[in-house]
Amino acid sequence: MKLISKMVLWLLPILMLVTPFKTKADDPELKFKTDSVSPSGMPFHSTGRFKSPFANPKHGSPCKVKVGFLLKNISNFDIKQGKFEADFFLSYTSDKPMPKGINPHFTNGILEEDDLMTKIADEPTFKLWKYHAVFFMLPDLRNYPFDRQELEIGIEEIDVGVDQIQFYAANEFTKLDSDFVMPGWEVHSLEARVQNHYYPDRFEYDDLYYPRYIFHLGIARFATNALFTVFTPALVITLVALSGVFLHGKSLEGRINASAPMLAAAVLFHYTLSQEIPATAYLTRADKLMLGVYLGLLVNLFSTWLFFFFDEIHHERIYILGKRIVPPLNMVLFILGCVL
Amino acid sequence: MKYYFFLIFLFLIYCRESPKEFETEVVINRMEKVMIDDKGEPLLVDVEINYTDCPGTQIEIIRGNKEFGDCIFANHKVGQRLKLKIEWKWNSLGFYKWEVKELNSCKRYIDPQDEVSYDMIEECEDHVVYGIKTGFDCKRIPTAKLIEKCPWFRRL
Repeated sequence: MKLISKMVLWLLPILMLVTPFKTKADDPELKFKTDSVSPSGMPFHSTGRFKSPFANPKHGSPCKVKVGFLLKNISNFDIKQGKFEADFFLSYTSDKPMPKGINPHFTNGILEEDDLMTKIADEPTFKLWKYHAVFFMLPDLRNYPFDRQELEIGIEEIDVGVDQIQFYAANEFTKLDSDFVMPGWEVHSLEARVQNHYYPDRFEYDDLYYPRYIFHLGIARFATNALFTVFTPALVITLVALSGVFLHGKSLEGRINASAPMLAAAVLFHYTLSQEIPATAYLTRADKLMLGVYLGLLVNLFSTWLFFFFDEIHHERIYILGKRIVPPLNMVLFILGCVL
Repeated sequence: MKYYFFLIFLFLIYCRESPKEFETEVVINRMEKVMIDDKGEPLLVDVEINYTDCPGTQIEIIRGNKEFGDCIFANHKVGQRLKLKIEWKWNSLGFYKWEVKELNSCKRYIDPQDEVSYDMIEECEDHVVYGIKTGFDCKRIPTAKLIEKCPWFRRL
């Protein structure tokens, strides 16, 4: 007996190495319960609405899944990278048992670690998760610094199609947490919608539509802050530069000292503003404002250069015309920069 | 002349509307004894009220102390329509805010450190694409229509 058991102990590892270890997962017939295989080796369903191997023609009518969403927190919102982190609860409630293997997947985000997902409930007709994940969005800065952004969270089932589950956005279960606050931003709106998403063919018979739930949080910058951090400094720069216009041609140095440093200050201020946002293919409202300020300052400088171009007998006239034309022109350019 | 500009500047910075009081009617959605003493009497209560006269879905959860809780639970029940007294005033965070002062003769003391009371002010409408409802859109900033009917929701 001892000899036999010793032989078994010696032979067993050798047998395991030699014999291929086959599991259920390796058996292609059990992974997709399809009834056909194409000549290229692609399993597919020959009956039913969809041929995709992820479809289930025998499922019957799809489960109506009410999607609930509670946003607890938005953190690390980096508008330059178009990135934010979100803490939220996600619930699925259905009228009949959902298919096995329901696993929400983010269409515009990533779960950085598995620990950041907590499965709180996993019943056939009720599922609840808590997530902390990173999401990406495309900022719209056309009205910067009065811009509004839409933070999008997209959730999809990647291997269960619309033939098995249909999402419904539940208004009564889509909320923000009671203490939800986003520093520097005001919550403007909340939206949720569902889509049936179709992927361009990734493989043969990829014809299945996948249910997708999209949550949008609309946020806006505080107008008071935008006014005082962008428009007020620009106005101050313009007004300080205008003080030189009221100096006579005899004080040319004083005139130049009032306007030239303000032009440099405007450029630096504009540079600081542009560092806070990503590069864009369009001019933001702040860019247009600063263009108005640059033009005003250049008009101011030009009115001083005129003293160099013309003889002294004309200086008095240049001074009087400068006082009458340059300030209103500056204001018009500033206002045009604000409104265009 | 320069003093006028300075005064105008001060006016723009510090000008505020004075506090106002409003009265309206609400429906009690929920009443909860958040904390109770040994005799089962409420020490802290939450009352969820629904501003049914205002457009959209305007719900507020207010927390109250023992006196408020005793009054509420002794005299009122869920589903009842009650008179509400509101004070609307400037909040140092930069906007106007309303506070529930009295719920049908039950006076409410507001603890300055109360972080639990909150409101869910929103106006929602269906999102329809090709004639099919695919979701909903909710505005969380009070609209002109809401402010006209219920002026205490005005923030600026």
